[in-house]
Amino acid sequence: MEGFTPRLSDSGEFMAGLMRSLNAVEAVRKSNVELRRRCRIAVFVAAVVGFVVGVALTLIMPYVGNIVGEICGSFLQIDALTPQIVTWLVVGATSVVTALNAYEITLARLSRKNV
Amino acid sequence: MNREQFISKVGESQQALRRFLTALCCGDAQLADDIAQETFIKAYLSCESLNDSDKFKSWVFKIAYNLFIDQRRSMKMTVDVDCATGIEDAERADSSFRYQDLYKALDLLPGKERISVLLYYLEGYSVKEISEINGFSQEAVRQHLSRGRARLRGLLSDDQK
Repeated sequence: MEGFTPRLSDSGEFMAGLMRSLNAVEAVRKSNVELRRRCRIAVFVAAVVGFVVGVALTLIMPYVGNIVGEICGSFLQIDALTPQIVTWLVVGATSVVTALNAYEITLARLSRKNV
Repeated sequence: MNREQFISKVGESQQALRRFLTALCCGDAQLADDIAQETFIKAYLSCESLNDSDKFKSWVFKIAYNLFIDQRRSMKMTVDVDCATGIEDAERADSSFRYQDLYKALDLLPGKERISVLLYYLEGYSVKEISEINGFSQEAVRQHLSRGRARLRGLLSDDQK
């Protein structure tokens, strides 16, 4: 094994190839960091919108409850609890759907800005 | 370790690593360079976990060894040295031809013995350092070296006959 000196490819070429790969790694890393930042902003906006919509609907719940009671009563014989449950479901579903939409819209707008 | 420090360390160790991998791959310099590139990329991705920069060289050798083993498993490398893959020019062909007997003999060694022999005789690592790189005990490394040496001696003297 003494004097084993196999001919290797040019070190400059090897290092140049490696630098290109490392630059690609850095680009992917930066892209991932940026994506995580956009997702955090979108989650924050969705949480705020969902909270605001939830609070607003809760404040007007008596009116919503009356409307739901009238709609439910016109279709079938129901007990007193059903309109309350349906009202809460409506409030919850509206808040969640609004929050999800806010998340998607925020993410799309932030992505478009970066492009 | 920041990027500049990493590149500086790579510059110091890339020749030795590529030489080691070329011997490990029985003269296939292109494969050796591919594994070396992958080694340094993996090392770059986890260079923050390396606390002692003095151990950089043995650390990359360990990564290279693991990648070589993975490569071997996935490709089921029973290298036909006569095929001399990756030879693109006359100079490299001459180089491979010069060490053809050695590559053939190394190819016949079991993987553990080959790696221990190369790290010890080619790169000058101690038994303790080799055991840290390949994960075997020091006693096992000594056995690999002893058997590998005896086998290589036998194979190379048979070739000369």
